Amino acid sequence: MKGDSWLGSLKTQYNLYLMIVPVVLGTLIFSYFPMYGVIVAFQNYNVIEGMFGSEFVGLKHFITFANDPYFFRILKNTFLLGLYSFLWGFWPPIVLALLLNELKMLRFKKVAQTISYLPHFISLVVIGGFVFELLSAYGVVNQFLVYLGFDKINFFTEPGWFRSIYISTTIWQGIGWGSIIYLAALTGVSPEQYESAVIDGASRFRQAIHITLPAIFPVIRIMMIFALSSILSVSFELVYLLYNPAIYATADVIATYVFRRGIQGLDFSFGAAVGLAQSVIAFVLLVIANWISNKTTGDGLW
Amino acid sequence: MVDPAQATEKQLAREHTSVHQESRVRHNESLYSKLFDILNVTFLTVFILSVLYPFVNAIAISLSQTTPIKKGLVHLVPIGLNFDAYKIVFSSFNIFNAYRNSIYYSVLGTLLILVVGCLAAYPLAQRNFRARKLLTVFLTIPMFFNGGMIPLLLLIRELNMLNTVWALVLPGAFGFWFIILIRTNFQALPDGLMESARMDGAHDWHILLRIVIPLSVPILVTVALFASVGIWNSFTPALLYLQDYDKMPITIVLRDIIANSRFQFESTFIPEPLSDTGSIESMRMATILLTLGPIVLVYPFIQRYFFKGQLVGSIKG
Repeated sequence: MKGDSWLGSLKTQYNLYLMIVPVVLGTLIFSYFPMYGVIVAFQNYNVIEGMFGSEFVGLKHFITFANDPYFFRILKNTFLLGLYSFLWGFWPPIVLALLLNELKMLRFKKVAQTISYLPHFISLVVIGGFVFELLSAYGVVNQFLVYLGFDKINFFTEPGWFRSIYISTTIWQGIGWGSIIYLAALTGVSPEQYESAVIDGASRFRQAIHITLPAIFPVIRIMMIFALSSILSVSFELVYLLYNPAIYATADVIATYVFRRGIQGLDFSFGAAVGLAQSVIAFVLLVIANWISNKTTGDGLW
Repeated sequence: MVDPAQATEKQLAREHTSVHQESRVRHNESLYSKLFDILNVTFLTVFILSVLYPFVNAIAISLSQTTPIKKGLVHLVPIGLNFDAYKIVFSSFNIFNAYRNSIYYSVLGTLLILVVGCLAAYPLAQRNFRARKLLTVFLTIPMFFNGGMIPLLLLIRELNMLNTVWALVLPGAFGFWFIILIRTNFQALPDGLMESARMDGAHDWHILLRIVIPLSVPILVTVALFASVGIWNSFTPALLYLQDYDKMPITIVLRDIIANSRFQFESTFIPEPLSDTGSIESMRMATILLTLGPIVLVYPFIQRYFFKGQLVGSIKG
């Protein structure tokens, strides 16, 4: 590589440079330019003057946001939804991977695996449809409640149910697919380790503690960093599909608020400011999570 | 460090052979162990059934009469078999249009991803490419930072891409995850192949098109499947960027039928429920099944591509 100049490389490898033109252009336009575009959060953006002509107003929209009557509500909802999603949703894929790994009938294991990640490939709109159907007044859940002697519950008008519905739905969709990465780590464990443990007289339970769990610990750590840092980044789509004005009290999150105020309400600068605030906090969380990981386990993302 | 590409191959091979062999034999079969196995299988069976239930339930409801549905009697089998829901849904002009749109967006978006991906992955796979590191960093950063919903929307507006197909397919065409998948595969090809082709005087385009791509068909199929399913299922971009109802993909139409709403701008036709047969629930389920149909039908055949793809992608990532 010594002696290779950029100009020289440009001449001899010009085909390669040509090939990367689409991806570079595309990334510049659709990924990097919107990063610059957050500048509208600091402007009074209007469509006539555009991004480069609108008046600069500094932190005005951020202050407006902080004083917004719904400020605490959406922050609270976003945070709680993200936190509970993490607490309840982080470990089911791990458990599923461990259980699948213990199966002896390999045919059954394959079938179970295949079916478990089917929900990952269906649209959230469809999943929303399933949820409405199952939780409707005549749906299977209410029928079960009546059978047990309880009253029917209207799941979509009482705010208290939203979080449980949302989290259960994300678990249903993600548990199979999420287990793949742990299963991948588990198949990397050599059978000899188990055999020698058996010879040493280890029970199945001890095998699991001393061989299986350590094998997936690095994966768990990385996944946990990602999961913790995205607590605030609750996705727009599923909340939008499942919520309605009656339950905004618990269901309205930052992303949906940005949509209603910033896009439907055409208050672009305000929406951009809120979105930017969310990104910054998410980044800070990522850094903190990684720092904690480095301090406690000696390793992390970087 | 073990070469990740080789480790992946080993793991895949192990997975593959283990299907055809008995799993590791455990000699320490205590009572608790056997009990655990029984509970495990039971639990997983219940789990599988609960995953499948909504699908079977949807089929049943879509084929049932209204009264049993309202009474909550329909679970796994239709009661009062009738096809009226399907008749109404099919005769609604918009369904075919929406279907056509979804297919169009999916195919176009996938093609773009494949073309951009292969073009980008090839140089990245060349170890002597001067810009390799720089390019990798350049493409990795957007995975962690992005401008947000509104700057992107404003950009699309200012590019005059609102209400066009390009708003749906272009932003997603440059995702780094797909490029990584393809690049890993290109790198796993034997070096000698490209070397000897170069010595014969072939230039890079020729190598890429005539040698590398034909040898990479499995990974390209995988990428194509992921991409097309992702675009088919997408909802939010269409919600944000499209305005004409006849450009809507089927997910938006489905959303309208489920939420029993007219889309915020006027829509062409939301089916009116009949009194005794073909209730709105049936029509909802019928539309759900139409949206799901292509995916679920081919899923058993293609799921191994998804599995392997995620395996490779997650290890590399």
